Amino acid sequence: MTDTANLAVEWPRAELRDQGGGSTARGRTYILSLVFSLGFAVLGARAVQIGLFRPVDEAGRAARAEAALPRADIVDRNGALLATSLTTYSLYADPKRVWDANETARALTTVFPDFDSADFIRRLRSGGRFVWVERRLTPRQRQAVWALGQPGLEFVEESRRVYPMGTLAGHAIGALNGEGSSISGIERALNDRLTTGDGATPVRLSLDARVQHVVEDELATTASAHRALGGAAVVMDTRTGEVLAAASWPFANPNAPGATKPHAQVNRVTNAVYEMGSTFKVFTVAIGLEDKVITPDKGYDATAPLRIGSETIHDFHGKNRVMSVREILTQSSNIGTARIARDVGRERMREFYTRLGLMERTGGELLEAGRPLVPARWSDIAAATVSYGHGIAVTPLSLTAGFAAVSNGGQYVRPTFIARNPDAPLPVTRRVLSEETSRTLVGLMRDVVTDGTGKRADADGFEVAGKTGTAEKVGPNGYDINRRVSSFAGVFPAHEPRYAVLVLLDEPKGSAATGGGATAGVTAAPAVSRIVSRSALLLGVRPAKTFAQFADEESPPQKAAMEAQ
Amino acid sequence: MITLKHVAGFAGLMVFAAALYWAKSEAQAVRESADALQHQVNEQRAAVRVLEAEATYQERLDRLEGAARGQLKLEPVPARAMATLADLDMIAPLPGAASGPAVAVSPPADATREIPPPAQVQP
Repeated sequence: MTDTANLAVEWPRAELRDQGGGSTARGRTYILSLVFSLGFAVLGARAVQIGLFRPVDEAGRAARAEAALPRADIVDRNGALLATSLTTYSLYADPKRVWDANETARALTTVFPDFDSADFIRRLRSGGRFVWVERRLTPRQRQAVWALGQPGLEFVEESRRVYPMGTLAGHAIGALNGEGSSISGIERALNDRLTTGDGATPVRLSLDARVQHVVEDELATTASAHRALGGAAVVMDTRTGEVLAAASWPFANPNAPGATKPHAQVNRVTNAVYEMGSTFKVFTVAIGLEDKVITPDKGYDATAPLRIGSETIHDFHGKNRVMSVREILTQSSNIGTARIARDVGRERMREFYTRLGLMERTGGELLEAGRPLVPARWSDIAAATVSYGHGIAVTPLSLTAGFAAVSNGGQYVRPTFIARNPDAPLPVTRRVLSEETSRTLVGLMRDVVTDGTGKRADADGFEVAGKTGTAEKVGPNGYDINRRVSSFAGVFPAHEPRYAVLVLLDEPKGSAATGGGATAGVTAAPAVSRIVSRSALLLGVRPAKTFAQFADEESPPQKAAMEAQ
Repeated sequence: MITLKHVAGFAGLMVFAAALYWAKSEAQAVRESADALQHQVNEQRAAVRVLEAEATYQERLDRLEGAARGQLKLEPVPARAMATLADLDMIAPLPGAASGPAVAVSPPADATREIPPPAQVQP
């Protein structure tokens, strides 16, 4: 053995690999695998979460569905459409995408003849990404714009409220402003109901479009003929309180509320108060009869003006004699009525008027309900003047509801603009008169039309009963005899009063046809006659006379000849 | 140690997840289909509303009345033109028959009907 052989080199032996160490290749591989596995596990878990557990955007869907719901329609009691919402398209331009502003403006002029090209080009060049071109296009205009093929023109959907009947019942229905918010009438009063429903269930009003048309036609004709400042007319169901027609002249066009003059915006049926004058005598006689203070034939001294305190009460048509209660009503005696009021008592008068709803706002569902002007203190003179309709101012709807109450058997029913369910029980009412008193009173009102100041209110065959009222308006120097409010309030048919009707004219002027007069008997009463004649058949009221009875009236000689045979 | 139970369990989990995913996809597809249908319904409703509004506008009472008066020369029927069947003898007596009664007998309620007078309708 040589030394060399013995010289064994002690090479360093490789150490055993550390199985778990990160410094070895195997360890690094494990770590890398673990990282990748974790990464894939996270991705997989996220994929499973997205695929299986991602919540559906129910809130968003509901919001989109709600946005698609239109405002509910408004229809009359027979289903005639009064208001609806239509989808319209408004046109805007995106200036960044418009190639040639001049060419686009020129093209738009062919669709919109009144288009202001210069202003449009100026707005296009002023920066921004949105320029209104035209709002609420018709389908034809929209198609024409499409046909232009101009880049940068886009449409956006908008809802538009449309009133296809135009001005018909414009005040009662109300309107929306340019932003789509309700501003008046039923639109405002029932806004929540119109907007929160399913959009497919219309709101059915008590109005009858046919009767409304008749009432508006006659009111406009009469008010124009007498050059009145304004006018109001109402037809109401005395049993249910449903308002079948409510017209305020000048009319308002809900399609263009901004174009309606302020003078025409007032709903004179519910939001204007008037001293009604002699129509109030009916209420005074009613409470007198109810309390058995008077009978139709009881006499009252009307030989001379009545002095109460410092005031003197005169008669417009002075008879200067003792008058029965029947005559007091038919001849409209202020003196006689004031004496009845004195017998009834001022406290009882005030209580009765309160029960008739004359001391509170009466607007049905409408928020435009005028507050009545009533005496602050019911002194003797206040009670006396109120008895014939002075010193108290109420809305035409209040007066009509009062007439309905004293004529329908004595039940006060709150007026409503919403159609009642015919199968539902009648609304809760309060009794103001006995049925017997009510019948007697209607008989007296019928006498006013057959023998008194309201002769021109009678409608052939439909037995109108009612009362005229001509009140002087208050001016700077007290009552002004040249400015009057003429009205006729009544019911028909008299043998079974079912409908109350009122026509009121604010400051009517005399004409040749009326002999220069502007009192209710020659202005409002004839309008009532025409309204009843034209609408009674629509309401299902049959004439009280038969064809033969009418024929007899027309040809008495023939009848005499027949009887002779 | 991975056993057959583990493999079967994992496979079952995968199948369940796939079924759940399929069900959700189907539901989503149906929902989208319903949305599309609802959109169509809304469009059709909107179209119907336009037609109703146009029809109402065309049939406005003042237009109809004007047409009836102007074109057909019609006038509202007055109460005295209302007749019942019992009045027929008076209105149109049979040839050779005696004149009808001067006062009409009240007819049964259901016998009432309106007869427009010839004088009201002009050619």
